[in-house]
Amino acid sequence: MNQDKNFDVVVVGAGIAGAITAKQLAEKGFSVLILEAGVQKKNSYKSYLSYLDHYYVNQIKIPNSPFPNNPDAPQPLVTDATQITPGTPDTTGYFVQNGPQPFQSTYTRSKGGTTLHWLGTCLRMLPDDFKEKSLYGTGRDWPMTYEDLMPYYRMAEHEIGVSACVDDQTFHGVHFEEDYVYPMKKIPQSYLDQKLGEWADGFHFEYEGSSHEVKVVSTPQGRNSTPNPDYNHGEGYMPVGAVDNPDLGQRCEGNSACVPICPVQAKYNALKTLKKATETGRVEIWSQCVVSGVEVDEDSGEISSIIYKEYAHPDSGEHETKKISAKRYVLAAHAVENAKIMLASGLSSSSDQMGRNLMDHPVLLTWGLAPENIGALRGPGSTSGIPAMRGGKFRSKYSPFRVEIGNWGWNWPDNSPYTQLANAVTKGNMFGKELKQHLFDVSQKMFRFGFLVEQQPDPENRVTLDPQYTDQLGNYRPVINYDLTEHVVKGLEAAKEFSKQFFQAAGINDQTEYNPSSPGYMYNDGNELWWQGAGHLAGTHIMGDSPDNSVVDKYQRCWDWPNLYMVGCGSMASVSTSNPTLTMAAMSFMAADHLIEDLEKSSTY
Amino acid sequence: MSNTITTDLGNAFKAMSAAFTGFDEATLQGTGLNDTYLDTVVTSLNLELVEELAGLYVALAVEFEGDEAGLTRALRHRIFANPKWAPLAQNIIQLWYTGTWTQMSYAWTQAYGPFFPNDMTKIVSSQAYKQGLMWKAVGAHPMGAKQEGFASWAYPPPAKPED
Repeated sequence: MNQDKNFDVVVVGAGIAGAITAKQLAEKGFSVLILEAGVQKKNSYKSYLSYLDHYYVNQIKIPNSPFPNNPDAPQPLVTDATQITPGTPDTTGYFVQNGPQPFQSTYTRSKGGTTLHWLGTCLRMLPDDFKEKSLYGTGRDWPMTYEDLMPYYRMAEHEIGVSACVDDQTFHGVHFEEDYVYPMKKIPQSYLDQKLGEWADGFHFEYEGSSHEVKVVSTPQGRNSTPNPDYNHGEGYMPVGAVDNPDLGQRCEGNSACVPICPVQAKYNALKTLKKATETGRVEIWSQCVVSGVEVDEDSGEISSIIYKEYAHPDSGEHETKKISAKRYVLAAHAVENAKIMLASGLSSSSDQMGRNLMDHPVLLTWGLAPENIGALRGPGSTSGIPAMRGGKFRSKYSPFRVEIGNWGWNWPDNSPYTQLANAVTKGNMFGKELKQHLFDVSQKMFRFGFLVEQQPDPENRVTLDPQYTDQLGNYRPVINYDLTEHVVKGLEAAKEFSKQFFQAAGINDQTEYNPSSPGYMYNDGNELWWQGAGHLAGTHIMGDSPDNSVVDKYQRCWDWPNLYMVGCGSMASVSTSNPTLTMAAMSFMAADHLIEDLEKSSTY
Repeated sequence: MSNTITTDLGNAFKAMSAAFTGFDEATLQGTGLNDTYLDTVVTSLNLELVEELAGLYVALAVEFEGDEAGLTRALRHRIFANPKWAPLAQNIIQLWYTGTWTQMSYAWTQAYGPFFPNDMTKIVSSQAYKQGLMWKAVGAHPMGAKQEGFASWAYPPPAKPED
């Protein structure tokens, strides 16, 4: 790496948002440097396989299990979270948690970012989600509409390679351009999806005086399926296989491990976009460079450089502090890390919203035994959902939620089938053929729902910094304050009632049991609830229509520092009920367009 | 230590493992891990314990040859109800089912061991994870390996566990 080299743009973070921005810029002829905090890794498939081996032998199979912890760029783990005692911050993991509720979500600080372990769900947001405040009096309105984002959704669906069926996605006002088809046909719905669809046929969820028709529909996914010959007016689509091994991963092969790692990269990850970006010859990626702050030029009020710490080995803590300047800067380091970099530089923005409005999807899980064998533990993590409760007038009373149908039995809530094995052997006193048959019988019927409840932006849910909490490079660890509003808790309650009614309708034997000592356990009005994080961190540099109420504008350009863009889920004005990656990707394309225009304009002067 | 493991012990360990796991010897042989697992137990604990347990199994198998119900009852009485052998036998089951060796309990080590310095919970190897019998038992495949192919998940599940 040549320290004296000049770049048009410095992008911080080699995840999906940074990769898309860099690729778009480079394709227009601009030179881009990406600074990545994670360890140097070759772009080879062999290098990727080292993650897979790490997963195989890791005893705890959590989302970050394939990706070794790096003390120079630490990452949160789901196993870090505990119930928080008021007044005593929980400092177990990377996050310092003030509570009152534990923040349970994670992300990955490696090249490729959290797309290395994402599930791949690619739902668009609903048109109503962009005007939540106007329509329902909750949350915030976006400074743009669904229609503004439509062309960028198309670009995102192309880049990620989304497999879906348009007819299954036209609910709650979601619409598409005439003749639009997704790049690939929908991922086949699982056998248990089909069974559930049969059992749910004609069922209505009755709640607080409203009736909601329940339909099981396929979920759009960023994983390779059968290409649709009608895509792009008959042009078709070529699936993108594994980086450095393109024949591999042309179709999802059913490895049933999307989270934490797709062995064949049939599931999209940002390494694919990074490859395209670097192939332009105008993008360099410098790994092991952890950005710690930005500098502001006092005269112009613009960002004058990015400060980063370069480390030679992930274990020693030894590093060199350096800085680099460019015409424009893009922070795409993740919602929490972006806010952290700015706050560490003393920049909380004139709205004081930097680091605030931290959102996620609290996920309520319920589980049971189906009335017949449904073949759990096969295929992608989820291939269908129920959109009934994502939108509607009830949103003024309680948070909407998306229903995810899990294909992996009780693996998430109960670590199945490991738990069933241990119980059968040590408590059930089983061995031999009896043990084998027992495990088959119980596992085959396992069913699980996940309810992703919308969390509205709340300025008190926030990331702050405290000089007493730093990592081994001397960078801040994020201090998190987090709680759920009554509106969200009511959404969780509605979700639990949905599960109860659905299980009754389908004849599913409810086995849901919450542990009062688990983080996320709540006892509310005689109702037991238990929620977890979804890994959908958003809102920390929130977008709006004015510098008074937000950090960035609709193009994710900072109101206060016009040569700085903060790109990613941190800009989202609401998290809606969609998994946010597709929308983040669309927003990244939109930001890149604006940035390109901005650079082209400035170069003519 | 492993150089003292004999072929006879390997075969006895395999026969015993088949009875414990419910999978036949050919399936166990097919994983390629019988010797590895025997070595895992020997290394984690010691040869003596394995020889004694396998010897006990072989004696029962001979005594109840052709009488499956009788052998099952004898295995319960003599091994799975025995405070010394039950934890070890159960550990061997989980070793085959998940590729994980689980550290013996403190109480068990106090009662039957000296201190075992190599007795630590671990997944033996990537291969051991992938060959876990649990996945065959549940009618699926190890998560992240032995994939079943595009759209396989859309078809009805198997009617019984894999042999």
